Order: sequence, then structure tokens, then C-alpha cells
Amino acid sequence: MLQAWVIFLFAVAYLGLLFAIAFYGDKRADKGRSLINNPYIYALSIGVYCTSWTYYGSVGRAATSGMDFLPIYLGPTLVFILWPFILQKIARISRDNRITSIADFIASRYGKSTWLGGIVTVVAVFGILPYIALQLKAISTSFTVLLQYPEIIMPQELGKVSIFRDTAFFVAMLMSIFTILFGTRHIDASEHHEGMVLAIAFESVVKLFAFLAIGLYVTFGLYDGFVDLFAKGNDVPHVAQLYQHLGAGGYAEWMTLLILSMAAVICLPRQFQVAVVENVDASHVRKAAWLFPAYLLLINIFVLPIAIGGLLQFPDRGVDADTFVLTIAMANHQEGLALFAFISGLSAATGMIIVATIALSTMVCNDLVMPVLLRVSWFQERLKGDVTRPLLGIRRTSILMILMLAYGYVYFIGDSYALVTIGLVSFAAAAQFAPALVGGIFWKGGTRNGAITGIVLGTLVWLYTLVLPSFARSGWLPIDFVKHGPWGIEFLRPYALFGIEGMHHLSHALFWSIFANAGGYVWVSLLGRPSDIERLQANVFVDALQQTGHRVGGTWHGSATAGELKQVLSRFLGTSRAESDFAEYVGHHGEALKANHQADSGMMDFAERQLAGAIGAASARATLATVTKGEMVGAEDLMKILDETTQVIEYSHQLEQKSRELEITTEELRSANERLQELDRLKDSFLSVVGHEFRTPLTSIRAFGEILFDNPDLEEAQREQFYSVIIDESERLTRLIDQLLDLSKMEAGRTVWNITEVDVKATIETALAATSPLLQASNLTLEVQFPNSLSKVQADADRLIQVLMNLLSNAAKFCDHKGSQVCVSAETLGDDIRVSVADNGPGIPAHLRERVFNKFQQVGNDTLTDKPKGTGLGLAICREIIEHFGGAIWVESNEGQGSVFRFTLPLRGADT
Amino acid sequence: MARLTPRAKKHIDSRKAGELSVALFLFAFIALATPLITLIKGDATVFGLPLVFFYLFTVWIGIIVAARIIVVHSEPPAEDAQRPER
Repeated sequence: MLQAWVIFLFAVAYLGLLFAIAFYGDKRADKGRSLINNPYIYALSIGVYCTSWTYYGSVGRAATSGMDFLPIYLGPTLVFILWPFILQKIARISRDNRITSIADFIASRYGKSTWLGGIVTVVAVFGILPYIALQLKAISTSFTVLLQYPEIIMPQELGKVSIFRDTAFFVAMLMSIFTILFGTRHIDASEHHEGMVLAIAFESVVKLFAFLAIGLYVTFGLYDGFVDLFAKGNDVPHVAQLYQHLGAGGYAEWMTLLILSMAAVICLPRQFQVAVVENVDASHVRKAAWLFPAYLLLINIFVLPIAIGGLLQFPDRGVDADTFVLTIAMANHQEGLALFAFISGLSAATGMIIVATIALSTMVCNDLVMPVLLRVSWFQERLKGDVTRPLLGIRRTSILMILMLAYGYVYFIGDSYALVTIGLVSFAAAAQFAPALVGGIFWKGGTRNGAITGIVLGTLVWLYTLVLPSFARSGWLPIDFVKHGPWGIEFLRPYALFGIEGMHHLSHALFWSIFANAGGYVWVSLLGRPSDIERLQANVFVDALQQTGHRVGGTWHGSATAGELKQVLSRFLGTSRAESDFAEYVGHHGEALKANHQADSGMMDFAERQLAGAIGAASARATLATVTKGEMVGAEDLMKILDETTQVIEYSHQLEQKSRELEITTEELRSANERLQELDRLKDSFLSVVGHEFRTPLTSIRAFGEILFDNPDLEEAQREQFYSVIIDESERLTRLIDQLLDLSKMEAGRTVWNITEVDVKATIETALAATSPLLQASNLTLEVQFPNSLSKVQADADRLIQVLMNLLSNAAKFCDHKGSQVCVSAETLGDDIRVSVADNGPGIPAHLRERVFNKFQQVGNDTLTDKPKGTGLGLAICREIIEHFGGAIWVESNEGQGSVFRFTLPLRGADT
Repeated sequence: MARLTPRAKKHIDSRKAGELSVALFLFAFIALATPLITLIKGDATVFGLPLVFFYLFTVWIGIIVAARIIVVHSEPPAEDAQRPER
């Protein structure tokens, strides 16, 4: 049944179905019921990564060099794992800035540079065109092979047959129509091509199912499952060695392919188109992170089995391994399966052709043609009218041109070596965008000049080490320059640049081109200074995920009116679109819009972004500049916008700092307040105690005074007794006041201290002498214990005597019973001299031991009669004095067994 | 998408998801892209499959499953999900 017309009919029917699906997708989108707003459709559309080069080529590669077909699909898996950092960020930036292509993305990042956009476009076109050609060739080859059924004859054995060309030409024409129909519906290239995406997703499903069907047929139909297949393979040495190590190229090639594919899955224009430009919802990226790798896994699981099956089926190696997908089914007379395989190969090829052509034509139109036209005064004249039609015309023409060039490539270059290797050569070209792209979203320091240098250098090295040698091997250049270097200069040999030998051509080229590219990018970026717009864009791109979506400010001065802006938009986007855009803007900002209103910078920015969606960032900027009479925001204003963001961050840092300081101050204030309240309470209790202490002697004085006054005829003896009471009480009052003053002076630090070297022993003796009358009166025995020598201390001798006298008189006061004894001792303990005054009086209850040193705290009941003589200030004063000397004073006591007052004096003197 | 995990989901916030992604990337890189991978060779078989084939596809499946776990558990609550553009 596999006559030419049947195959042709099926192919046409399939392509017709593709048109229908795309048409349906667009219709649904027009009704607002988008079909592509779905993570599965999104992940499937990224499946355009798998072209006919995957479909036919992977098996071929597996059959010749083993497992190293796989890194091409492991690389994307690695990239997609990092979705939160790479894909999501790029998608977010592109949505916010209405990015239309990878050239637009890179140009926009580096200051909306027209030059950079143009360079990226040129590199992309030259890198990708042969890849498109490869797809056309795959279609014609597979068609030819299928046409020979039931014979299995390789196309190169048939010689040139005119129908190959016609198939390729026919497909190229059909693809042009499809791409023009579904790729240029909107003038706004940043809008989604819903029908196209839906068709691509459908193609991904078709090629997956076909590949699985063939895989299942080979593995379970022709053989008895995986184990049987591998076991049969083991019997053939050249088959077995395919899966016993990484691949013929070893680790170096494995790694090269991995890196290449990691770069390609983002940087290939068609991948950027489906994964970024056509991305409807950033959350789809998250699901695609595992869906797309899963798709790749499924489509690869049978590659090796098919390769083994093919090698076993055609042991004489007369069949090109690239055609196994078709020829295994043909050899076993599975006509339906063979046809399905052909259609799927067609779908893999057309999917790539469609997306790559749309991506390239957008780039060519926006980043190559528009910038040139905008500089030509002839075109500027025509700018006055509606330019949507010419614009679409440019895009459609470039689609046609690209596909015709690709076809020309097949036609003229045909079976040469250059075409066979082109898949990886294209990957290597796309990899040249990786440093500028990845650097651009993570490194603010990258500059326009750096990016241009990197891409140009990398591309030149790529041309020299990969493309020119392949031309030479195809016979268009003398092969001598590959073997011996240009002009016989050995170290310039393109496959062994600077003497690096032994590497695979691809690894060698990738190393040198990325070395030159990344090196040039970083080096020139570091040397130069970015312009203001570059710094602005660097901030927008690098901080994309931190931004809330609101721009800090505009980058334009309003020297155009709202009417003029609207006119420009109408020219490029069409009147109705411009109207609705402005209505949207007004709705958002709530300002009434009059045609003669001066446009503020926010509105200019808005207009620029709308325009950028249609003609790219660089062209949009240039176009708007013509309307605003060339007045862009000056450097200072731009810096202000930049600084505003940094200032806001700085300001919030300052706020945090301030609030921390405030917290600390508040804490300090609170504790100060607590201390003040405590002091206030102490003052109150102090006053009431002092009042009480004053009142007691005053009451006595007054009472006895009154008695004396009222009874002038008192007996002499009694009167004298009363007088002496009055005198005693007055003395007590005086003492009290003296001590109070003394204490307050000490506490306030106003006491004059007379610090000298003091002999402790002598001081104690002086104090004992002074208190001896008192001690004798109390009838107690005094014991004194000194070592033979005591060091001298720094202290005020008079004050020290005061302390000792106070302690001794206290002891005497409480030891008025029989058998009382007081013991005074002194000893050197480490760095201190310790003096103790011990008695065998009633002792001090535990709860009072610390409090006796407080003011007005006396041991004993509070009743007036039981109160011991004294002011209650003595020990408080003692403590002040001893602490001033740098020592400590405390009491040790067992209730009922006397108490010991001890104090220490440091030998080195107080630190003060 | 239907919930494929019937168990109550333990939510991973976006920062944590980022950290886990990097960890997974490092693991994948070590397992698939360092010279360690050259250790996997020879005619040994696992369940009748050649070691190299078995290793590469098992690791790959493992990575995809791990990526899916991170993605599913870090999904923002439905009400916070971004409204799609037109």
C-alpha cells in the first residue's frame, strides 16, 4: 500500500490536520477560552526540542557510538531542575518587559542595544538556518527511503532524484504558509501564538507515540523484551560494546554534549520561543520542571533497543542507522507502522521548522530590519501612516526568506559532511548566547560592550574551529588549512588550536569558543563602565523576582503629548489596539486623557513597553525617541531612578537600625524608671524612719522640758536628772544628725578622704584604747589576737578607727550579761587583711544579717523600750567606709551564740 | 491536574523549594556529569539489563520523581496562584 501517492496523501492529510488544530486553537483563543493555558500543553510544546534529529539521529548515534546520545537529553533535565532560578526568572523578566525573542532579551538587558540585538540575530540565523535545512533534508530522505518499499535502499545509492528536491521544496512551501498564517496573526510578537503552540504540542504527542510504538514493536514484537534483546546483542561484539561504557567519545565528549544541551535548551531561539515567549503563566514552568524531563525520558527509553534491533536486523551494515526507525518496520513488512513512523518524523521536523522560523523571523524583523529602517529617512517619512501592514509584510517576507534559504542550503549543499554534523554545530552556536544570557540575569556588572565582545569572539572561534573545517571536509576549502594550519602555522590548526590536541572537534570548539566568549564578556565588562540605561536594565533584570511589578519611575521626559504617543502606537499596533491600550492605562491610573496633555514619564514607559511587544525593546526605544524630539531622560534623572530603589532599601535598613536602637533605649528607660520608683520608695521609707528617729529624742526633750516648766518647784535631784535626760537626748539628736550628714556626704561622694599608708595593728590598738572605758563599764573580757607583723594598707586611719569603734561599741552594747567576752583579731588572707570583732552576745537572726547594714536597721524589737542605744546608722556608715577602701564587711552569726563582724582591706589598696 | 498524592501535603515554601532544587541539581550533576560516571561500565547486568543502561535510566527516573515531589509540594495555594494573562 506504500505507493507514492498514499504516502503523499497521508503527509498532506497530516499537515492539514496540523492546520486545523492551529486554526481551532486560535479560534478558541479569540473567544477567550485559551487551550494553551495548561501546564501539560506547555511542557509538550517545549518538546519541540526533539526534532527529526532526535527522531532519526539519536538511533543512528546510539548505533555507532553507544550511550552518548543521552547527554543531549540529560542536560535539559539538569537545567529544568533549577527552574526557580533560571526559567522562572527569565519568564518573569520577559513577561514584565514584553520580550519577543532571545535577541530582544539580550539586547534589552544590555541597555536596549540595537547593535547587540542585531549581532545575536545574525549569529542565530547563521547558526540555525542549516539546522532547519537538516529538517527539510530529513523529510526528503525519509520520504525517499519509504518510497523504495519493499526494497530497502539508502538514498545515497539512488543518486540525485528530482523528487527529493521537490519533497523538501514542497514541505518548505507548506511550512511557510503555516508559519505565516499562524505565526503572524498579531503584530504584537510578545503575544502568544496559541494555534501554533497547540499544533506543536500535538506534534510532540504524535512523535512520542510513534517512537514508543516502534520501540515496543522492536522490543516486544521482534524480540522477547529488553532482557532478550540485550542478551541477543551480547552475542555480537560490536553491538555489546555500545552499552558497556559511556560512549565512544568517553567522558570528555559526554561532558561536552551535556554542557551544550544545557545551553541549547534555553538559548536555541525556538526553545526560548516556546519556553519563554509563549509562556502563558509562570506557574506552568514549575510543572514543566518534571513534565518535560519525563517526556524526554519516555522518548529516549527505546532509542538503544531500536538501535540494537536495527543492528541485529541488518547485520551486513548496508542500512544507515539513521533510518532504523523506518527501515525496521519496512523490513518486517509492517506498512502501517512504517507510515506512522514517517508521519511522526515529519511531525518532528515540521514542529522545529515552524517554531524556529517564527523565532528567527521575529528576530530578523525586530532586531535587524526595523533598526535599519528607523535610521533611513525614507522610512521615517512613511512612519506618518499606518505601519502595521509593512511590519507584518517584513515578518512574512523574512519567514519566506528563511525557509527558502534553508531549502537552498539543502539543494546546494545536499549530502555534504557539513549538513550531517549540523545539529551539534547549531547547538554550539546557540551556546554562544549563554554567557551573556546567564550573566545578564545574575550579574549586574555585565555591560553591553562585554556582551558584544563575548558573543563576537565566541562566534568567530566557533566559525574557525567548527564551521570552516567542516566546509573544508566538504571540499569547498582546501583541506590543508585543517591539517597544517593556515599558511602552515601549526599552532593555529582549527582542530588543535594553540596545540591542544587529542580532543574531539566538538569538545575542542566548545572549550575555545566559550573560553573566548565568557572571558571576553567578563573582562570587557570589568574594564568598562556601563552606561546609565545599561545600569537601569541590569537592575530590572537581575532583581526581577524581587520587584513587585511596579516600576519605580519612568525613564522618559514628557516632551510628547498623549495624542502623539497614541498616534505612534496606532501606527505600529493598529488603531483599535492603541485605543484599548490607552483605555487600559487610563483605567489603571485614573487620569483623564486629553490629546494635548503632556505625557508623563509613566505613560511614556507604558507606551514604550507596548511598542516593545511588537517591534522589540531596542526598536521601540528608537521609535519613541523620534517622537519625543530625541529627548530622553538625562543621566542624572536615570541615576535618580536607580538610586530610588537603592535608597528605599537603604532607608528600610536605617529604619530597622533605628527601631533596634529605640528598643534598647526603651529598655534602658524602663529599668531607669524602675530604679527611680525603687529610690522613691526608699526615700519615703527613709523619711518616715528619720522622722521616727528624730521624734523619739524630741519627744523626751519636750516632755521633760514641759515638766520642768510646769513644776518650778521640783526637787533639785529630780530636776538635775531631767536636765541630764534632756542633754543626753539632745546629744543623741546631734549625733544622729551628724551621722546622717556624714552618710549622705559619703553616698554623694563629697567626703574628703585622707588616704595614707595605715598600720592596721596600730589602728586597732588606738581604737581599743579609745573604747576601753566603755568596754570596762560593760564588764566584759577582751581578747586580742594579732600575728607578729601585719602589712600596711591604703586607707584613711581616722575612718578606720571609726569603723572599729563602731563595731566594738556595738559588741559592748549587746554583751551586758555575765561572762561576756569580745575578741578582736586580724590576719592576712591572700591579698586581704581580715579584721574580726567577735562577741558572745545574743546573735543576729538570719533574716537580719544583711539588713543590719541598712540605714536605721537595728536588731531588737521595734518597741521603744527594747531599742538598743544608737542611731541605726553606724553599720551603714561602716559599710560605706570599708567599701570605699575596696574591702567588704559582713556578719557571721549563730543565733544565741554571738556574732562575728568581719571586714577585709585589700593590701594593694582600692582600685580607685 | 489531579492530585496524585493522596496524603496530606506538607507544604514547602518557595525559599525551601529553591534550596531543595539546588541540592537535587548537585546530586544530579554528581551522578551524571562528573568523572564518577566513568566508573559505571563493563558487562555486568542488573535484572538482565546492562549496568550502564540500568544506571542512567534509574538515576534519571529518580531525579524526575524528586523534582516532581519538590514541585508538587511547593505549589502555592490555589487562591494565591497568579491569574493567567490573556
